[in-house]
Amino acid sequence: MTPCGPVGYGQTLPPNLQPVKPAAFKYHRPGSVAEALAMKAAAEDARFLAGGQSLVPMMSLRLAAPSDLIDLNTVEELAGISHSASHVRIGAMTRQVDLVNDEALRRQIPALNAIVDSVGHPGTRTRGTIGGSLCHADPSAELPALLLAVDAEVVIASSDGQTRTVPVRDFFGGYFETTIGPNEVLTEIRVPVASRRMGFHEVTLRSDEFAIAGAIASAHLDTSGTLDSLRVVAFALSDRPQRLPEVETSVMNAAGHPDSLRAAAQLTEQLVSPTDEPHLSANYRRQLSVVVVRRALEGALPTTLTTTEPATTDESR
Amino acid sequence: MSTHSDDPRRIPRAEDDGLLDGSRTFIDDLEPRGTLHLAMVRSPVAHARILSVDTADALSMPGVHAVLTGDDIARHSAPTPIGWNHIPGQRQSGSLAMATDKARYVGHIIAAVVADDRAAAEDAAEAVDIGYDVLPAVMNIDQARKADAPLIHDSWPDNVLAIEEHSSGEGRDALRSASAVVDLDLRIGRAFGCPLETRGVIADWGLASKRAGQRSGSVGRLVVDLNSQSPNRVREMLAEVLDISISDILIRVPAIGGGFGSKANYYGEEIITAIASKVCGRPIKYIEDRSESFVATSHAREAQMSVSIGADDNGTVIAFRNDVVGVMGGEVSSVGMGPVWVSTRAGIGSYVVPHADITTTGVMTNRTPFGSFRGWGSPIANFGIERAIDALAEELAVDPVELRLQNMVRPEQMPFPNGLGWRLDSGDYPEALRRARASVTEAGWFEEAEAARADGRFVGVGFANFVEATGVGNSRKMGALPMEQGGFDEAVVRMDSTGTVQVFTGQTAMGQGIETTLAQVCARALGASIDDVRVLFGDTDSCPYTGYGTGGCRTAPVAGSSVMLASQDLRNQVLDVASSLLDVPATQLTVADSKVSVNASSDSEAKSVSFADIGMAAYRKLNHLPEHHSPTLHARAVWDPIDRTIGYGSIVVMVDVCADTGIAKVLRFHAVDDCGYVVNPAIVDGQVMGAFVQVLGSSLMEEMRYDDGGNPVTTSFKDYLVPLAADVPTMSIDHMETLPPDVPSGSKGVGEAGTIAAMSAIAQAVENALPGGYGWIRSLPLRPEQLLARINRAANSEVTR
Amino acid sequence: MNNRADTHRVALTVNGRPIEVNVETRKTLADALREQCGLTGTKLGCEQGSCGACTVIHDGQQIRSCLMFAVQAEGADVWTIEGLSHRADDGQPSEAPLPKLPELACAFKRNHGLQCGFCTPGMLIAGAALGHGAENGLDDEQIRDGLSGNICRCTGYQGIVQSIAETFSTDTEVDR
Ligand code: FES
Ligand code: FES
Repeated sequence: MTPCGPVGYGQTLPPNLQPVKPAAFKYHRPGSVAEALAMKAAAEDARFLAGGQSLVPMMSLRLAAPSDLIDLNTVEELAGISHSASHVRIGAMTRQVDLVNDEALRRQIPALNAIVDSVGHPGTRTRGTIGGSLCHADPSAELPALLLAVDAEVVIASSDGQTRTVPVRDFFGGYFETTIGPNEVLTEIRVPVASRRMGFHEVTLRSDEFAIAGAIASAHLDTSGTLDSLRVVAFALSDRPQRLPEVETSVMNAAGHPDSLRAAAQLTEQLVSPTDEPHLSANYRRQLSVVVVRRALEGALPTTLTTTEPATTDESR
Repeated sequence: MSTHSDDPRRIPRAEDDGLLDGSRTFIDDLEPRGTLHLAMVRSPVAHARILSVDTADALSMPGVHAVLTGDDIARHSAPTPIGWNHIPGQRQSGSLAMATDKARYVGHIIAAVVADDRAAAEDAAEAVDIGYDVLPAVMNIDQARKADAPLIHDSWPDNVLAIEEHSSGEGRDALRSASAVVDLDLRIGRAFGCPLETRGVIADWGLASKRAGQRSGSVGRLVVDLNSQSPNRVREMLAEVLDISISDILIRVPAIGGGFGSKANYYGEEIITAIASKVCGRPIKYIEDRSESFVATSHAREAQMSVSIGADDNGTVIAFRNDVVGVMGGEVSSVGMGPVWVSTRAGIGSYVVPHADITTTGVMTNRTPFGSFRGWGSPIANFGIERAIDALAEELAVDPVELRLQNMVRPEQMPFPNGLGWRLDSGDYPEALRRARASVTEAGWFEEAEAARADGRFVGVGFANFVEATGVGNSRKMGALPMEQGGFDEAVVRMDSTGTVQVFTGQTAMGQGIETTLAQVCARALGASIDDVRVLFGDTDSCPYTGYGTGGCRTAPVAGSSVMLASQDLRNQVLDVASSLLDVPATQLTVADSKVSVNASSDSEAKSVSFADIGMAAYRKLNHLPEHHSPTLHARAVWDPIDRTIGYGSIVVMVDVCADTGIAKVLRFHAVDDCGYVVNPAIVDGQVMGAFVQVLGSSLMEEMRYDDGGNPVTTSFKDYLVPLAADVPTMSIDHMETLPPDVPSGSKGVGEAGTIAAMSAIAQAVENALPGGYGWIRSLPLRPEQLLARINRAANSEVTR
Repeated sequence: MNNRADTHRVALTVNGRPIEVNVETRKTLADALREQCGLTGTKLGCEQGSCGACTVIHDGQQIRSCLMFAVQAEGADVWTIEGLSHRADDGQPSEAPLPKLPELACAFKRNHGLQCGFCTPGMLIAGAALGHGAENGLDDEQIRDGLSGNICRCTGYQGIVQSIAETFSTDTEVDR
């Protein structure tokens, strides 16, 4: 995937560009994944168009100027959610709004409503897709972090007819970069079925804006209600969503005892690597990282682990 | 505390229907047949000498009609004048609408491409090749004032635009005799109006102008559609720089999607678009895009202040000084240093200060030019004096509200010359503050804040006062300054043969509801039913001249007065005709609801004629028209303000600072405002609330930022954070209605009221919420990081204790 | 660049009427609606997807018309403020989505929910879509959060929030 700068969030436009209309391009409407891959391979500098909620503004600003757009919106096989005993399979072109409309998925991912509510706006979630979010690889985005927290894997199809399955942790290549190849397309996301408790918290400088610090915690409890495993992911604090094994171990060692969360969260400060900006220092974001991880842990881990009340999520600022 | 919900003056707005169904026309909705589109090529560097501009590649691209460079602009136009040039010694840049020698800020226009559509123009804009010799960027006051600082304007001796000092009494020397003196350095960040609709212009000079270059004869007529708050000023400016007569220019103003002062300035884009039309012989359309708006529309507010306040043992303020330095841009905007300069007049706000001394300095930097934004320099001045009083309260260990009450101008002192050139004309300033305090006390704000603090949260309440200079005049006095701009307003009111009334005004509508407000003024003065009154504006051919334009809060006091006077004149004409139709002396007639009736007390039983009858008698069936009355019903009045009229009030906010993040949120807002007679409470409240929210933004989240190299880093709505619905509290407004003595309409302006004291009140509320007393917030927008550090320090010291 | 210019014929339904337009691929749906359909009620405040002024209804859901290319609208059912703002008895086709939008527009007028009106078409559509999806009514916080994608620079939002609350309150009938 072509690396690209983000729109907004402290980024300057490239020199002498203040445009508003995209450069010209050729448009293609494939009917299948295979056709989409073939079209892409045949073009000079093509990009796939998913929900377009990030790519279209980048094209309007001419931060991206592909020669060809291959519109995945016409590929029906890419959309939809299906459930099996072991996995939830989410088509890459499933709209963000449709994630929360799926009741079974909501049960699988208790923090889903709060997380999806924080993605873009109501008017972008109707078009924006889960695969698009993943491939955009914005380090401050919630969905990539969520998929890392639930240990999802992604299915990638290639123009040679092969598919490969990659754990989400190996999918991101850095700031707005993924490890997907030029002749590949993301087709599906697989979320393992599990009984989770989740917590989510992010900090934004305005009621609704890109996160400047965020965390998602996902805890598995066994049938007796004892903490079985824990995954904690920080986002907007490094060049990609980042799992925090040290924090997880610390909480696990204390068997998820509520008193252990604060100290465990404190470890985050040393694990993340936020950028330093004049109005927003790295040091401040480190402080926030502790706050968001603590809040996410508190959301995921009930005060008494043996109770069975529904998990709480916290989306406040 | 919501007021006026059943007030009969709260009528629905005339402008709403066409906005609610999307049928009203804004500038980008217009496109004359044959229109070509313009895209600007803007400087990507903050400061550079322009070595070359190569347009050959761009010109050869499909759909491209012309590429204009600085040379073309120099050939067709003169330098852009500075409108506010009354400040002694203010330097002139002599700059054209486009950069010729140097690029002086990122966004400075270097070339302009005309093509079939905007996309094609942008394609070609990328191909214009400009050679730069990049110079060191001068980005802040310190850099600009260094002895060896690079000069932004080569012909100036330094980077200072102007300095003005203004004092009263013994000035700053009086600080020596004060028993308590507090000094503080303050800073306000760069903000701008940021209307949701960007600027746009369509110029059509016809073919005549193109031919005029080749042979003599008429230059044709330049028709400009423009979303400007000041069409007459743009018309005069274009006439001057294009060297044509004013009457050969027609400016039409469509619906405007918000202005807030940023569209009161005039800009080079207007000149360039007109020249492009001349060169191409076609209508040319330019719409500023959102990214451009952050570098091309005037910035505002950014200033540093060095303040001292001195009081006697009893806390009575004796002396105040403020040295204000405004951070100007690379070019001088149409208002020059005006917005900063106004601090010299507004500097002491609502208070009695016998000895005051204010200096204002404009320092040029390689940033976007500095211009107007709602409140002009008043929010800057307000932050200086209100912060000083908070710091003084801390020093004297007294309540900041009490200290204010003690020092505010009292009603019996009115009219009160503030010593710095403003006459505070009317009102009860301390009562506004007492009333605000009483309202929020009754509403339980203090208990709520205390309870929250007991809960470990950081919640506080803050107060601030403001004065708002509105309806600037008098025109003769303004003319005595080296200034070619009056403050008067002309209105024409006509009734047609169906009895419908048209009000023609030189004001323009940009959301502030003048179609409704002026119709209400006319209906009231004339006795018409509101449904029979139409307000027309935005066409310099048919609407009256208003030199000042729509800004400085003048619609209700100045335009309102001229409309009222003309409507009263028309009412007399209507009475005259009715008297003849009814054969009853005018003294026995009453005008109401578009009808003239014989007074009930007189003998003749309830006879009446409608406005339609009267209109018919004056225009079409004239046999009953009195001999002395010439046909038609037409009145004209000019109101030239005797002086400014000063609105005032107090605002209160409740703020919560998050203990985890240091991010502040405004929970509540209440204002007591006195803008004289309130024509329409819904509209007035809307003005106050909207204005407050803009400054809530610039206090907490909005700031135009640059990196050290002079690149703006806030060029989208994702970086320049204007408040969203969830950032805004529920607001309430309480009105006092003191009628100003010298304003016929009885109204003062109100458009800036919500902006002026907002920064000061928010700062005080945050201090009230956090430990550490008053007066330590010195810079806005607040940085969450700093507030968090203070919270953590306090927590640590509590632990050690 | 222009050598890559690519034009498509697109058939779609706009405000209940089937139309066909020729569009250059780089034109957004907003461009096509405004320039080719003459429906200028859809406003452009940013063309970067960050203000909500261009909100329209696309296949029954609110979208930002600046974030979709017109060529993608093949076969789509699109509604703009012009088609949504009139009541059925005003000649609005009865199949129009968001049947309470005209009522919301009246509330905007009553509550001073607009000043310049530039955000208003988008605000009405986003507000009506928000209310439409909320069977149990909306509290102040839900409304404010639900408007997170729509900027209004004039009003301070109070009249907008109040209008949505009044229009979609479930206890209106009980109260009155
Ligand atoms: S114009 Fe589409 S979101 Fe602003
Ligand atoms: S009314 Fe002007 S932007 Fe909302």
